[in-house]
Amino acid sequence: MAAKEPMVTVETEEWSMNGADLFIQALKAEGVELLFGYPGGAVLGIYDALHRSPINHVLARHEQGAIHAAEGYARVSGKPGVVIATSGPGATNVVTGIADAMMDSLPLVIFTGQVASQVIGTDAFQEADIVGMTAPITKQNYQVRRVEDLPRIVKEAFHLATTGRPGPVLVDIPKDLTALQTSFLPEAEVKLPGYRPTVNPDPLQVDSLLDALQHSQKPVILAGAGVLHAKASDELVAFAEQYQLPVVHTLLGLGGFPAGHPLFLGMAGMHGCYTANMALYESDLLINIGARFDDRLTGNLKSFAPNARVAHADIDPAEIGKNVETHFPIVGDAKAVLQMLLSGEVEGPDSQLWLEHLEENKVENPYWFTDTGELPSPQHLIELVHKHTNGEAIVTTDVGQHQMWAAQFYSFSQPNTWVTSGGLGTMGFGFPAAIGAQLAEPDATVISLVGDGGFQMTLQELILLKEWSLPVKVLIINNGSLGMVRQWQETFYEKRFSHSIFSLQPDFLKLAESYGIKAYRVSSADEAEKVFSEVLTDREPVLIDCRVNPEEKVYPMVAPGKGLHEMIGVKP
Amino acid sequence: MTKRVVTALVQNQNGIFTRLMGMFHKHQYRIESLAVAVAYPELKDVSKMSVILEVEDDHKFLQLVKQVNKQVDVLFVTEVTDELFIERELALMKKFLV
Ligand SMILES: Cc1ncc(C[n+]2csc(CCOP(=O)(O)OP(=O)(O)O)c2C)c(N)n1
Ligand SMILES: [Mg+2]
Repeated sequence: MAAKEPMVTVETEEWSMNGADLFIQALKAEGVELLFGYPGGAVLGIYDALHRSPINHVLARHEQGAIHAAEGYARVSGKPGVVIATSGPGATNVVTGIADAMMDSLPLVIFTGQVASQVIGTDAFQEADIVGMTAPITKQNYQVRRVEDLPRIVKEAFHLATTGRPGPVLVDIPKDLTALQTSFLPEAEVKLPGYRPTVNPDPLQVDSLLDALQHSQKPVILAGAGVLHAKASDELVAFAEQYQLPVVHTLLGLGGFPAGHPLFLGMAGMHGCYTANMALYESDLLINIGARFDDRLTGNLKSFAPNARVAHADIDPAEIGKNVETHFPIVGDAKAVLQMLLSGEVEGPDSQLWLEHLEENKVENPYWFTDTGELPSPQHLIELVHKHTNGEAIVTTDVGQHQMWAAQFYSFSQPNTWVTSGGLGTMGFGFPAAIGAQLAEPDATVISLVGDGGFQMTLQELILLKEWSLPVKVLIINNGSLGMVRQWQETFYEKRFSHSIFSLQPDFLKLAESYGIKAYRVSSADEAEKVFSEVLTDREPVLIDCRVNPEEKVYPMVAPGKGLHEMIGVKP
Repeated sequence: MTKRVVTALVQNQNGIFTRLMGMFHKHQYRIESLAVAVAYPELKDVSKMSVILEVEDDHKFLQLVKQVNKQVDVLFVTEVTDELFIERELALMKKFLV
């Protein structure tokens, strides 16, 4: 395909293009190499221009698949994920993904077609007010009114999506604008007077935190995904080591601090480990870097970190003090904050006793599971996945029990290798996210751990593994049920399993086969060991239907309304 | 219960009022009074919005103000509790509306 570059204009005739070409030009100016999308009436012009451009386009089989793939791509690469959908149903099909990206601060730019300007507001065929609908779930959104605004709006959209606190930005493009003849426009300027994210922290706040650190006895760092977005893992490790500070991760932060590090305590929250949750509960100085004190992390706020003075560093000032009273508010990018903390060189806290106490907790209260059922326990299988990928795979998950087990048992040692839907908890996310992750990192081993329920929400994207030669490994943790729902019904609804156990399942092997993908079924740890060792690091896609013990539950657990110190199921 | 005024100077584009109204609703505030006007005749794109609300919980209210401030098209926000000021603002709004 020939790339379309602005040519030197002939003196008499201005070189002209249409709005769609101008749009593609603007994408190229942003360095976009890959789009995830689905065509339709309102974007025919854009697809026509795409046809003559060198930009790659992944044709998903459902717009939801496209946007979750874009999220996986963004999560792993740190680059914005770009999505195109047509007006009306195309646009409404990406709403879930937009809400998901908003909650988990993923940089996405979504372009939707819109009906022609002249008929907007008439309930024209495939008209939907997508700008109105997505206002609360986008960082910003636009409808382009004049073709000459396109370059500026595209530029602003990418700027907003990727700077400050990342997030989704939607641009709605009426069809007629893409057909308008226009001349090539020079690069646009970003005009955003109301948008000035604070990157560099206030040194006074950092100093007062360092001062408090010297006098603390039970300090702990809570590190969230902000560390990953800021690419600040090295600084986090250096800071923790400099002052011998134990580190706890949120669900989304995993991988920011190496799981094998002696200062790492584990994940905290509803299904976090005993040591991490108790460290937050007992701490006298809680240093939150880039986490938003989500309710699944804090448990009941009344008993959250009751003895701690709280420092909270976040790029988004609206997060600070939102859920937890904060004594040291620090607005800034996690990397800049950690660098400033590192340059402080104060006397460290005397935390020897505290570290010994935490180490004891770790030894005495590890995650546990039993392996007594006929079928293997899912936790054991995830340990085997870790073993056969050297703990170096990129792991994407769907939502449910398998997600929590993956977070607990696949110890992540590298940043940007963990892709999961945390804030929105979107079933159907995990498998398409793996496609985006593999496209971002073609040489990596990408494991998609999905539930038998959630996989059925977006499995139509299986064909992409074949089409794009993506060696994604799909592991269905098949417990024959909506396991997480089943667990809550068992624990809180006296075992009334209302609509959570599947009476019928498809044959996942035949399904994979019909997409031309190799597939295996494993029903024991031995079988799993054999199949995993053969295929997990292969360069071919594979689907493995892992039959697991349906009775297994995720523990420990902080029940709703309880504090982090009130975990149940800490020990067998 | 106290009355508060949130005043925001905004770039009147990209559906900023849809965003802001949605946000008041999301935070479960009932708008008692709302006025929008072009703030400076020479700056047609900039509007001033004043909203009067009944506020029960100061903490929750502060979160709302922060979220308003975070909007890309909001230039700045002030919030006022001064009863006298609110009276005056209300009177102005009435004048503006009749
Ligand atoms: C789109 C969507 N619908 C419903 C839910 C509620 N939900 C959370 S976990 C879960 C069960 C998931 O079952 P499965 O995918 O089999 O995973 P498992 O818990 O069994 O590992 C459900 C229904 C959700 N999170 N997302
Ligand atoms: Mg299941």
